[in-house]
Amino acid sequence: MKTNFEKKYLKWNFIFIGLLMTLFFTLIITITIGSVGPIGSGNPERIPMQAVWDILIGKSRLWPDSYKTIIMDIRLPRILLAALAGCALAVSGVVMQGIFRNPMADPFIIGLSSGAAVGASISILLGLSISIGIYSTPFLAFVGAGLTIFGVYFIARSRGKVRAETLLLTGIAIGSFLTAVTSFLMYVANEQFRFLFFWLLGGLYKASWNTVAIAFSLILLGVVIIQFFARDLNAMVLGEEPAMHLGIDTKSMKKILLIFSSLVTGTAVAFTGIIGFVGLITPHIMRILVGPNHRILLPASALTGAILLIWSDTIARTILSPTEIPVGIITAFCGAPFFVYLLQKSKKGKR
Amino acid sequence: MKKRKGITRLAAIAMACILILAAFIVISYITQFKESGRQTGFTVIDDYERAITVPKNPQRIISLAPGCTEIIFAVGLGTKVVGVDDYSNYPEAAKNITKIGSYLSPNLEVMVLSEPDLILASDMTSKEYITSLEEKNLTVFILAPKAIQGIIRDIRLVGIIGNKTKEADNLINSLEQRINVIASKTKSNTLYTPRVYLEYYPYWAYGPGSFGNDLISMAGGKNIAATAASAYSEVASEFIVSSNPELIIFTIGPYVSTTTKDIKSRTGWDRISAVRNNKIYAIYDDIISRPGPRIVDALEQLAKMIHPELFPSK
Amino acid sequence: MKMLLKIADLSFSYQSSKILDDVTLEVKSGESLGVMGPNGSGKTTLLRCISNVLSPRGTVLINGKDTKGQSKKEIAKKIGFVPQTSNIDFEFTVSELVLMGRTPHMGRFKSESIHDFEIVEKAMKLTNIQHLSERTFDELSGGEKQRVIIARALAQEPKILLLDEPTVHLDISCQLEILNLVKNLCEQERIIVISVFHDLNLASQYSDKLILLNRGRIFSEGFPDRVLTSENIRSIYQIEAIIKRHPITNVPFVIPFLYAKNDKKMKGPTVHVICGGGSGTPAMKLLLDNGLKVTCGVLDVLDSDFEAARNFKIPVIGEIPFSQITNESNKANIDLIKKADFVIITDFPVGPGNLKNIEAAEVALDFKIPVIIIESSPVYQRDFTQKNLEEYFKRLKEKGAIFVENLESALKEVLI
Repeated sequence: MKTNFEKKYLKWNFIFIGLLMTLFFTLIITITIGSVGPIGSGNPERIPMQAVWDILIGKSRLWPDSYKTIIMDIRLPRILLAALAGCALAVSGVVMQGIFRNPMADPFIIGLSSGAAVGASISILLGLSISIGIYSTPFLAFVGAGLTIFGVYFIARSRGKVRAETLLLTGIAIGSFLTAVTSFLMYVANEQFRFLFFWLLGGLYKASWNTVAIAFSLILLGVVIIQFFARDLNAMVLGEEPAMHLGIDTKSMKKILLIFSSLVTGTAVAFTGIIGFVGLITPHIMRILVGPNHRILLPASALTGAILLIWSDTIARTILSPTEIPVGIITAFCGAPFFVYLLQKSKKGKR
Repeated sequence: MKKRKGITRLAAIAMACILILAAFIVISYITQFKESGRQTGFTVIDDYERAITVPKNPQRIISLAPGCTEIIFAVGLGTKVVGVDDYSNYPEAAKNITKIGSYLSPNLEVMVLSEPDLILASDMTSKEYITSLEEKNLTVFILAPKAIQGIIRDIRLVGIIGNKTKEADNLINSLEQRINVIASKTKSNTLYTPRVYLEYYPYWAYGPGSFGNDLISMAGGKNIAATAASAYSEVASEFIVSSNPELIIFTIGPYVSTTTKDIKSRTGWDRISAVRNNKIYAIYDDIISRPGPRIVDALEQLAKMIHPELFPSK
Repeated sequence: MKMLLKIADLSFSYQSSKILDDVTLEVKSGESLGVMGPNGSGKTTLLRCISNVLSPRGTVLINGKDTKGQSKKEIAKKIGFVPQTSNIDFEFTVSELVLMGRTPHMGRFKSESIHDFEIVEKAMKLTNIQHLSERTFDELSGGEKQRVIIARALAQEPKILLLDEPTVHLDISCQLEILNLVKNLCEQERIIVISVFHDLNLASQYSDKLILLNRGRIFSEGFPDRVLTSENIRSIYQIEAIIKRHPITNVPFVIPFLYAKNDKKMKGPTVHVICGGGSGTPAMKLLLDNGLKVTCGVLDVLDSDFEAARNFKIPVIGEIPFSQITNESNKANIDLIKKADFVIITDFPVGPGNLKNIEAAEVALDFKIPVIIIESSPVYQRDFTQKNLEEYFKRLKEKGAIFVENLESALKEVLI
């Protein structure tokens, strides 16, 4: 018995380390891909590979300042932000699917994205980023997401209990309402319509070391805390009552998980707009590959989400260079068919 | 008891995050006001009413809007341009310059690599984008004129910044002269102002605050969409029909392919005076919507269409 | 460790409707309690109140400590719950699922210890699922699944095991397997077992004590003998039932039967049934259902037809077992026959002891009362009178008795 579990835990460790290394290599490789090269269309001149190496190891003085700015201040923060956002969305997706026992749940299912969109709309429409600062839009998006989740929770509560189904339906209802508000704002917006639309599609162009620092602290905190609830999530998927019978305080567990999941999702959305599919598909992919036990599912999804989003963003910023495609479009295009393929494969395997 | 401690611990951590976040916001707010760009240079107020320190003699200019590109070239700074947005197609020389991307999401890497000392952008680039550009220590100067006078002012500003004041003044003089030729004749109170419907996309008209609207009045016409809700408004077909415009002018360009036949065949439009009298004209979109010197070309064309008796085509 | 579960004045309402009303009971270590009652009587709710998933009014004391003040974790260390069905959509393995039973004993920030694995192994051994350890749950059969869930509950090291209709979707061999397992656990591990049963006989078989709930109140409680009576069953379930003793275990065994109509105000013709050995019961029922009045005799009091007649409240003449029919009985029988409009003889085994019944039929014919004889099996197969029966039947035939092949035909004759 013990050896069975030991074997399993060993396998999990291997998976985790493997994914970590993949992430590392992804980082290394994608830092060389970009509009101005070394790998990329290069427009008009191209940064040589040697320059990338030198800059990374600190010998940046051999090369023009602009190279260093591009690699270290534009590309690297952007890749890191993509990793963090992907990680946050994937983990949040796992949590939502676990709490609601619904395979269609994604990080935005309780109206988070709609709330963030309203917050961002207000900031963009009022042009606050010029007057208040570059963080006005992320901050208002975050506040919008936070208020929405509180609102949904309070509305869904009845007699002190919050059933998962009620929460889900309330979230969908309020989310739809807020989406309508956003659409209305977009209609009224006129010129700023484009900016809002662009923000909604998701993009990582705002990445800077400041944003990475904020995102890193909030997302890492959230993800680590969520990991401690892996066992609780395992029990939760059995059902609300069975989980209670196993001693889980489902009410406070749901609250904590929702708070931290919203924290990481809200942070991701604040800085990157609404990137769909990563949060929905990554948990499913990892469930097929590593199993439903959250103790491996959570970290594996976190790392895979990061890798997926880094690659999606790399494609988004190079495929039509110099124009940038919003990353949400890439995740949708690639994510959906791949998921269908994986589903077919697993169905065949079962038979 | 133990459970409660666990929750308060988590709540404390959550509070800490929020405080960190708040701290970062405060820091960003403070750094926002820090002087970015060169130390050397002089301060000019841009169209967002910000005081920008621009270099004295910019050698590497990037333009993020086709209107800005036209102004830059018009004052003779064309040789200093190292990058333009995708839509900058006038003058011819601009077509060969490195493309930076659309004004909505210009490519940061390409821009930085071009090592610009000045970036001219319009209000079509989002404010967030501009602030993120300035974070990378790039100088961004906004040209966002609201009326023809604003365009003239912008030409002057660019002349000052780029050390081409003489060329700028010459250009402004000739433009103002051409404007006067028209305005002097259309100023008259006794002049009959025909109703004009100016559309840039099927059923979308130029409303108050747009150049198109201003041009119509300057050319001696009456814009039927002058009371519309905003500068670019969708207008109901019945409103157009009931306003019975005497002229219909539509824009043509790479994205709109309306033809005179399309307009004539719209339901109920055969009752419109302009359709019956065949007074349907086309005007090239670029000159009427871009905030650049060619706006005066647009004015002249409109004047010819609206008051052919005053401004006969030779 | 000795355990005592005391429930006092337990009441629970869901919105405005009262589900449980003033329930009080006590269970000790090693005792198994069966909870029965019609649908909606509050059985499952009772279990959920005990496990503190629901918050009722009243007290639930485990060894004197009220469950209200305890955390879900504390309670889960003492109470294990096995629900009716488990729908596990995700592909957990059996060992992973059983390990989840250790959750209440494990801290959030610690991983499993050797002790935890040992408990899991023991639980799987007790439920005999070690060979299924790495299979995924949804591949298993119904019985195997239920054993896994029980193993998971056992991994909690509970002192109290609650089972909600644990065998409702299982076939009969699985049912016995599970219930035997639980009974052994109760006795060997001294766990308190409280099970909700829908099947009265399984409850009787596998519980030390029973409670019968009706509309949220305890209608009856105590040993199975006391609780499972025809009267209780009639009151609660509105059906008629015969209570017998299980031939091997001697616990009450409930045999429900469909209530046959017997309206004394009916004015239909009377049929006297001569029968025995169980052949008369369907005849009596059929006749009663068709609105006829029935009388019966002479029957051995241990004969099942006699018991049926009593249950149908049919006038019947009984005789002491293993003896000849006495003259009094015979006379009483003939009196009944004279009052009847028809006589039906079913095909029952005839021996010297009850031969007089056949003779009585002759009397009927003398009185011009039609006699219908059902001959669905050959005469010689039930003739224990040394070949006299055929003679008797011949005589009856000559006198005008009608022979039919089955009960339905006999009925037709009567109804014409």
